[in-house]
Amino acid sequence: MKQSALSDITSFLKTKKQSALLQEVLEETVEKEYTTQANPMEFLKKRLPVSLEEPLIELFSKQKENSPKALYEFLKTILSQIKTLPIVSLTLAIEPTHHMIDAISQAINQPSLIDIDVNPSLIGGAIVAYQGKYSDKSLKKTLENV
Amino acid sequence: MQILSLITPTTEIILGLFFLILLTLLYFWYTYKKEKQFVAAEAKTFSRYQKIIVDAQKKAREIISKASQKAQQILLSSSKVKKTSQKEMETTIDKNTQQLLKSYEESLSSAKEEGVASLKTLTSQLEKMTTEELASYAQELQKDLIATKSQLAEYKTQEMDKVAQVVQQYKNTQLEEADAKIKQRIQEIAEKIIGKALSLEEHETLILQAIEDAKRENIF
Repeated sequence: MKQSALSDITSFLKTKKQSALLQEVLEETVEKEYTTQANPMEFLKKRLPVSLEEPLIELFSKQKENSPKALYEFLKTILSQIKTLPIVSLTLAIEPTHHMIDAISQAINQPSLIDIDVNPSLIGGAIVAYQGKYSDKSLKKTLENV
Repeated sequence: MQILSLITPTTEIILGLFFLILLTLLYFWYTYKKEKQFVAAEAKTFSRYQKIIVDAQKKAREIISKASQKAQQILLSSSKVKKTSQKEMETTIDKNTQQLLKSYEESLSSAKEEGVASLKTLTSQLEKMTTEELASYAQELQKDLIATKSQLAEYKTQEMDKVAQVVQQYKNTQLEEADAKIKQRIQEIAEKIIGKALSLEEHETLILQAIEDAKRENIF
């Protein structure tokens, strides 16, 4: 279930920024378990953007139980899974579109979060860094090597 | 007893006074007599003393005259001795000086002769030596000259090499700097032209290509 959960999470959670926001909201929600009787679902709807909230609810709906307690447990599992996701650092020449992020995620083809940094001097291409390894495939580098 | 009864206090005083006067007169008489004797003795003693002094003066004069005579005699004799001894000394000194001068001149002339002789031998030796040594010196000089020439040539080539190296280094540095400047300029131009010219699709293609390349390099 865990491995499938990871791939399910990364189906809608692509970037480190998204992950940071989701983690923050999930932690706040989980903290309310014993302090409030309110439905956590409502809280999530209030705090999360649609791009994150809808796929999360959809993912929860696939679970066997739909009680608030089961939701809390589901959120805790998601939280712990997010923390284990590796980060791929990318430096790009432009701010990527959602379409680009999806394409990049597909190209990486493994559960991970993308940390994007923008540097226009690269002209095009990308600098990729992952777990201490580094590859500069920017146009700037290509020009330097000319 | 009757006589004693006749003596009254007045008579006692008179009698006492009488004896007292008598005693005084006796004392004065005795003193006068003694003084006379003393004066006479003194005069006698004085005359004797005077005689003694006169005698002593006489004797002293005699002694002094005799002593002066003797002293004059001694002085005369000593001056004579002095004169003779001075003369003797002068002659001795003269003699010695002459002898010394003579011996000095002799030794000087002999030394001079010896010096001249040794100089002559030295000159002749030097004459012999110079011809031989000059030849060897000339040879050594020639050798040194050749060695110096070769050293100079070596030094010249070394210096030329160094100069060439420095020139080459400078050339390389200048070329590198020029290359760097050209690259920088090209990058700037490319950034301006290509960066703007690339469409979003082209950017995406380049990014995905970069990821694929990274995968091939086993970055993931």
